[in-house]
Amino acid sequence: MEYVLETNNLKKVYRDFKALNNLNIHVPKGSIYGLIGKNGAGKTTLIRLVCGLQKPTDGTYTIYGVKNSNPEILKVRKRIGAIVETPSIYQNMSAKDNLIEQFKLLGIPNLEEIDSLLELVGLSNVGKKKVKHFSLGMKQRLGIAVALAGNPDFLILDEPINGLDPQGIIEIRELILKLNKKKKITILVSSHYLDELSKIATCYGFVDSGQIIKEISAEELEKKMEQKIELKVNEAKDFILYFEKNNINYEIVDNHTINIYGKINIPKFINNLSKNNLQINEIHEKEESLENYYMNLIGGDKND
Amino acid sequence: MIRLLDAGLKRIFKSRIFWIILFIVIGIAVMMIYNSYSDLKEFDEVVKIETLFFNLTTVMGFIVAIFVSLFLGTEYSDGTIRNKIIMGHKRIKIYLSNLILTVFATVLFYIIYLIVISIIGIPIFGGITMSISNLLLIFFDIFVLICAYSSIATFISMICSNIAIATIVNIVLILAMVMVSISSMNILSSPKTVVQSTMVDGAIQMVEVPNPRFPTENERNFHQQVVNVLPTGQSFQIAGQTADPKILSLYSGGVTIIFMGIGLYLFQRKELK
Repeated sequence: MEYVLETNNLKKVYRDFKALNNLNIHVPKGSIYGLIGKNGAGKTTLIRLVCGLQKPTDGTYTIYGVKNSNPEILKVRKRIGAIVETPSIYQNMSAKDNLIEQFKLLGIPNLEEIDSLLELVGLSNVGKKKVKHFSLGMKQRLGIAVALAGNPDFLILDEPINGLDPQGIIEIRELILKLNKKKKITILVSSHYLDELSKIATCYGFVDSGQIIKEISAEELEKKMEQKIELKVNEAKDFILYFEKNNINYEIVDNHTINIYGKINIPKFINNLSKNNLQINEIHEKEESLENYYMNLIGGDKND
Repeated sequence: MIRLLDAGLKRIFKSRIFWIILFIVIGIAVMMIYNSYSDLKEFDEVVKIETLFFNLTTVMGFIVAIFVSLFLGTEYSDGTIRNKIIMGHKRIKIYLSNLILTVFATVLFYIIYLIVISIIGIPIFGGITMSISNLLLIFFDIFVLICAYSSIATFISMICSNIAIATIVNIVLILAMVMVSISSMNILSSPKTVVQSTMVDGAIQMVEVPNPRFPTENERNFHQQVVNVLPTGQSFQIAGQTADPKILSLYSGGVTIIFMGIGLYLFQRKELK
């Protein structure tokens, strides 16, 4: 798999505080990578390092295969657009002037694309209104437009829906999906709003205490979040043949635990197992949500 | 670097603080002409136009401090400095382009000031009496002095991410330099002797005695160095035409290079948010 961003034991220490502690992340090309973690988990620190705003204390990262220590990284950065925490826009300028600034900084002489960018983010009708009079959602969308100047193929959005009203959240969500699907932009989006991320992400990275504790594709996660039955058995491997034969979606957790995914008629299921001489000791019906999954990953209450 | 300068130039002319200061500078020019005209009328004072040309240097420090703090501080308060880094501009180029832009804006303020003084002042007070070579030499001093002020203010504004703190530090620093310069200039201008009144046989007699506060040779050298090194001291010397114009630019150049060097070193290591 081709990765746009990879890190190798990335570490960032602020005095005595380890913000990143040997963090390893792999952002696949073409994905919407949801970086999930509570406040202070290290999401923004990771983004600051990747954007070159700060230097790692230890470890490395590569963007499009170019290591951060390679001088070529400056050229590769031109392929990145980013919003770190708040949109980086001049408050006393209009939306158009902000984009002209960005185009000039990028050395793009042709300013024709500005109108289409404004249209893409739904700001084509704001005229000469200064950004300081914009709503938070409009500022966020302009921030994305600024980040999109120069047609980057990797977009980093740090908490893009923070503080937005429901309408603003929907607009940003749709914009992210549009950019990923129509413009084929790889997007790394950090958030602590699990529900929102679950609507757009194709991959997830769960961050806690400066580490990625789990990377998982949306497909795998969806599978895990389906209705689940946990079986406690004497010998898990004895069940494999039966499950395979009957197309049952299963996962061997350990030698004595099996998870069965999907809707199942439990009495009938137990009866069939019994007919095949497969004895179960315990059976538990569980329903997993992204929230439960996340809480289980980070260790539940102890992290709150 | 050209891209940074191109974008920065556009921002200067879009910036409200640039136009506000420009109008203030025009106001200062008109006020100076009016004051000189009043002196001419009331006291029959001879006003040399070149004196008016150089007078703006006395407030140049404050003009640069305010403009640079607010212009560059916006990059941090609006977070736009991040865009430059994210798109791969080298920090050294970002710093230098900001320094060049602030020098450019300040020189522009000065040129507008000179134009206003010339247009209104020359018909009233007459033309330039100084030799052109000397005038150009002093203008060169003023240019390097502007570089020194800009270098100090850029250093503070690029290292301190808080626009309010950077503005206060810049203004307080200029105030402090003005006070130190005035104090050193007062010491340097103290007379060798003072007239003392003494009672001799019941009658008061005025006797000239050595000034106990007259600085020693070493003290004079020290205070002269202070006035030469501090940009505010140079401003007063340029306005009063009391120093050798050939050496002033060396001091300003030194100040410019030192602050630029330290600023570049620290900005390369600065952790941006």
